[in-house]
Amino acid sequence: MDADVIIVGSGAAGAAAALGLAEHDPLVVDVGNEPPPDRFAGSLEESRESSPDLHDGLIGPDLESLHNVFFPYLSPKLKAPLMRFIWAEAASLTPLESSSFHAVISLALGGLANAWGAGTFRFISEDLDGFPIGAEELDPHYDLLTREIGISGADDDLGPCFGSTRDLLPPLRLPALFSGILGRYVRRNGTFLRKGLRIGRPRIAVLSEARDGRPAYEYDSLDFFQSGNPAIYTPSLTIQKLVHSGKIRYRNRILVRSFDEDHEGVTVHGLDLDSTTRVSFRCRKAILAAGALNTARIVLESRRDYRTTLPILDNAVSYIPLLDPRRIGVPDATPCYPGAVLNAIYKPAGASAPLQMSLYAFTGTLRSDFLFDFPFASRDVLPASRVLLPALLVAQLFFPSLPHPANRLTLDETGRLRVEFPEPQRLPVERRLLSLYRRLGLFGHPTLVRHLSPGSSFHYAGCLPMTRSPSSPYETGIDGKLAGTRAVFIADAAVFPRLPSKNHTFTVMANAHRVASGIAAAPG
Amino acid sequence: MAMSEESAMAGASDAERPRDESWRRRRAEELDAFHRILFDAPAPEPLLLRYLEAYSRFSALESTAPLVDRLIASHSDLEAIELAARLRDPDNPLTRRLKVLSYLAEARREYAAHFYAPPPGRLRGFVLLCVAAMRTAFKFSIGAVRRSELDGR
Repeated sequence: MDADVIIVGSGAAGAAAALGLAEHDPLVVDVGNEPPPDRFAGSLEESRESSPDLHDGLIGPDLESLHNVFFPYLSPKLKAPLMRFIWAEAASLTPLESSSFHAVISLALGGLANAWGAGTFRFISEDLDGFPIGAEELDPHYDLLTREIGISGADDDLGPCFGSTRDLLPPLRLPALFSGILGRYVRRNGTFLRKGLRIGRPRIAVLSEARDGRPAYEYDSLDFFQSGNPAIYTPSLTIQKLVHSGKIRYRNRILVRSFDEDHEGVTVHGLDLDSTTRVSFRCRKAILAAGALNTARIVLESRRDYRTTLPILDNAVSYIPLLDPRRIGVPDATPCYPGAVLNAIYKPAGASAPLQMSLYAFTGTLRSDFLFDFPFASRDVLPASRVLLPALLVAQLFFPSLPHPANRLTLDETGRLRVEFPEPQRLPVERRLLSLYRRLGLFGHPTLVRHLSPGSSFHYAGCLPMTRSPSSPYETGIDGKLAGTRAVFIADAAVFPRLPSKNHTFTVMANAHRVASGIAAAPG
Repeated sequence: MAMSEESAMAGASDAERPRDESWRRRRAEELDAFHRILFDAPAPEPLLLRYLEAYSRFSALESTAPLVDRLIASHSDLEAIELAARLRDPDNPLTRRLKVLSYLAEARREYAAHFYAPPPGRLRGFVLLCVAAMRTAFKFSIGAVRRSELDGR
């Protein structure tokens, strides 16, 4: 045996599973691409002072940052030259074909969470509607992970939606634009609560104060350009910490392709990318945590099943630009975390499920990413943007995703996933939200609302849904065990039977920790 | 997505493209024209080198170069035509060139004041916005009439 337990993947699920099995010497295997060396000396402002040209760091030697000028939209974080490692090699090693689904697959150490906004939201009971497990089964794992990763936030009107405030760090600084919005909301929150809108501070895995050898967040304006800021949690921090403390072993440059089982255990098969030779690892139990799409690929390939279609979930996303006229042209020296600065939950009377929004400032990305979205003549876009930017924000709205027969994936015999996703489940709520935001002094227009194409949320899930009594070989039990196997467990979002509106990463971690803890506690 | 990007870039290899002095001069004139629109000055040499690099990497620039050459040669109001075109199609050849220039300039310290100067205050800000809106309306009225020049008509 190479290990008692092998964990495939080092992203949010793999890292949390490794944490749950840290006393059992698990072996984590994946491709594990790592970021290139930093290219910035200090903060972005300091780098601008010290260097006449930041071309390599901001634009890239291959002009990577110009991606969206010529190709389909890629998030500013993922197109940045120093962030390309996140999806490097994925197109060739884990190919996916779709005309309607723009997926990003990561083979990096830490996975897609290298580019996440660090939103950490507990699923409460209403979010877990349709899951075979309840909030009480996840809460101990949320609690442990909150202490492990460090989450800043506040006890405010979002408390009933976000769950326990135990062990939260103080919230990050609030720029004037957002403190104004929050102040106006708080003064009239009775009105907004009756309409179903709650606004408050986000729960984010960003340290507002130093903790466990990690520094407090320093507002260096580099979050969109390089990863590895130790104040922002990524799963790679957990993997590296566990490796350094000798609690786990980690083998990178391995592309896991399949598994098979016998009465003694599981054999995990893969490709050593450096030697291009096939490799196999023996273990008693295997945990697949390669991300929902790649986990589905491994399961289908292991069964050489090129016919079955599996369900797939993904949150539809809308961006709602908003303008606060009070802030037009007004300078604000308060530095701003470029992720969610405020969160909002909208659940009007009679709605079956809440909708979550993250409110972002237009800071952090390159100005060139959006300059020509302003409807001004080109000579005027730069001066006008300087006046408007202090007053602009965007509400990123996620919609729940339920299984739909048209949204599905298959694997072909060449190893290519084929995804069909014609039905992004979006509700016509933007006009109502604009009306509510207007009462907060924020103005927008329905024609400016932008709907991202399916796949853009990166919240892929639901391929191997968890049920109390699995009836198909492509379902998992509540212990995470894949039906039809003796000792193969699924720990990532593939097991989510539906996706609520909330960012699912923290729940992926909590569930993976729950599954791993169950394995750790099992006899033998 | 990455695959299509790689193949698009591969399809635009330097070897397939004319790179004589006349071609370089036309690209310099083109960059100057766009640079004057955005920054009210001719483009410096280092930026031209980056701009030529963009031509090497993105075939969509080369394929639309004759159209842009024609607009520049006829002294068309590029800014007006670009605005009218952008409001219908943000991926038109003129807007793409302005975006490329904007990205390349933003990384350079000498352009920091254009991109990152602090806002001018509320009153001056409103005045500036009003002027920009009126100028934009004027440019649009010209561009709406001449947009057909972008289609080669």
